[in-house]
Amino acid sequence: MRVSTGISALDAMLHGGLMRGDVTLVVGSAGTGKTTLALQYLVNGATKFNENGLYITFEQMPAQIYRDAASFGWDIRKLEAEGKLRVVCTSPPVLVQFVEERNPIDAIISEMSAKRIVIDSISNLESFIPASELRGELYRLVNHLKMKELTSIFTAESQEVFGDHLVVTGVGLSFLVDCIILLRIVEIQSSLKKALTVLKIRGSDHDKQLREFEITPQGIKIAAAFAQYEGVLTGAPRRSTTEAFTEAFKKGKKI
Amino acid sequence: MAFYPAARRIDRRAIAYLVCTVLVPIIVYFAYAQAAFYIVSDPNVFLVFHAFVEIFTVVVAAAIAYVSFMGYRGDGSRTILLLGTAFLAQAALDTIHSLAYPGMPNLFFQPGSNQAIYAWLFARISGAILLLLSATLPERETPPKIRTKILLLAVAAVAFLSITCAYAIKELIDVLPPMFIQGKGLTMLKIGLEDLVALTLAITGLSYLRNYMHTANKTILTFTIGVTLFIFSEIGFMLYKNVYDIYNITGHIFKLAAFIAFLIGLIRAR
Repeated sequence: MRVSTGISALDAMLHGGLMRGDVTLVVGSAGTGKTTLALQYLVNGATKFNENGLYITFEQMPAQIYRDAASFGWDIRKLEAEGKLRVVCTSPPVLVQFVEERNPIDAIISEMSAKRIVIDSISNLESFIPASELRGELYRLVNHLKMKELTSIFTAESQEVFGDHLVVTGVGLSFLVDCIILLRIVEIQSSLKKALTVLKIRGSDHDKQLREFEITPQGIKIAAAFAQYEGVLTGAPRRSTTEAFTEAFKKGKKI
Repeated sequence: MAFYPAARRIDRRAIAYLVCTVLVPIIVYFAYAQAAFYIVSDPNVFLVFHAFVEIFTVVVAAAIAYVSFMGYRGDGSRTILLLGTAFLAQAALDTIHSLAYPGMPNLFFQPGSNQAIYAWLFARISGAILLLLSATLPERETPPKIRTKILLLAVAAVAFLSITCAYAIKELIDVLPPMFIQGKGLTMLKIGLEDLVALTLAITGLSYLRNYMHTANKTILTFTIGVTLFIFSEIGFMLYKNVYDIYNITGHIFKLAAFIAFLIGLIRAR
C-alpha cells in the first residue's frame, strides 16, 4: 500500500510513493528544502488525499511556518481550522515522552486521526539526549510511530554542504528508517543547483538517478536527472566525456 | 580576420601547433619533389603498414561516432548527429577500403587499385560533406521522442552507403570510370574528386578554427589540427603514381596523424 507524497515526480522515483506505515528520513544540509518537502507532503495529504497530518517542529515558531507556507500558497491556518493539519512547536524531551502513555502528542494524533506525521528535525534530539541513549530512543520512537500506523517523515541536517564525505546521520538512524531521501546542493557551471535522490526503500525498488529539483512558488518541482554529469554527489560534478565533447562542437555556434 | 574576445585565451602553444601542422607537411612535400626521395615500398611491408593505419583509424572513427551518438541521445544536437554520422561512415567505408586494397585476400570482392580507390572516395566524399554540414549548419535540437528513430535512420543511411559501395566495387567496377591506370597513375577524375574533398575539408577546418577562436576549446583545436592534417593527407593521394610509393605512404601517415589528433580531442574533452 503506497502513500502518495503529492509530488508526482517523487512518487515516480519511489515507484508509487512511500510505503504506508514506513518512516522516511529526508536528509540534507541547510537550505536544501527539507522543511518545504515535508510540509508539502502534509499539505498534499490533507488537501488531495484526505489524510490528516501532524507537523512537529523544534526550531521554528508556528507564525514563521504559516508565513513560509503561505509563500507556496498553502493556507496552514485554514487546514488547522478544518482539523486536517496541526502544527506543534515543542521541545525534543516532549517528543521522547511521546512513546509513553497519555502524552499530549499521542492525544493530538488520536483526536485528529492523523495518518501522516513530520518531525522537523530529528537532528535536534542530539542536543538533548546523551549520545549513548540516542539510538535507543530513536529506535523506540520509530517503533511507536509504526505501531500507530503513521507514515512518517523525519528531517535530518547533514553537516557538509559540499564534498565527497557524506554522513547521512551520526547515530545510525539510516539503519532504523525504511526510506532515505537525500537532498544535496551541487555546483554546476558556476551556479548552485539542488539534487535529490532516493538512497533506499525497504522492500521496494526505486529510481536510482540523481535528479535536479527546484523550490518554486508552488513547492518542490523535480526535473531531469543529471545524466550528463559524473560525481554529482561530491558537490562538484564533472561533465562526462560525452557531454563535454558535444558541448565543444555546439558552443562555438551559439556565439 | 577579426579577433574575438576569447582569442586572448588562445595560448602560444596552440598557435605553434597550428603553424607546425601546416609547415611540416609543406616541407615534407617540397622535399619529395627531389627525385632522390621517390621510393616504392615492398608490397608486403606496405600492406602491414596500411592495415595498421586503417585499423587504427576505423577504431578511432567508431569511438567518435559512439560518443557523438550518446551525446545526441542526451541533447538532440544536430551538429553532433552529423559529426557522429560522418565518423561512422568513415569507419564503415574505410573497413571496405582496407579489404579492397591490392594484395588483400579475395574475401567478399576482388581486391584491386580501383576497388580500393572507390571505397576510399566513398569514405572521403561522404565524410567531408557530413563534416562540413556539421560544422556550418545552424544548431538545431531534435525533440527527445524522435531521437532514437533519427539515430537508427543515420545508422541505416551509413549501412546503405556501405552496401552500395561494396556492390559497386564488386559488380560495377568494370563499368565505372577508372581512377588509377597501372603504369600511368591517377586519372584526372580521381585528382579532381580529391581536390573537392580537400576544399570541403578546408572550409570545415576554417569553421573549426573560427569556433576555436570563440571558445578556446582544446577539443576543437585538436579537430582543427586533425582536419588540416587530413587535407595534407589528401595531397599525398593526389600525387602518387604507384599504390606502394612514398606519396601514398605519406598520405597514410598524415591520415594516421589526423586520427591521432581526433583521438586526443576526444580524450581531452572535459
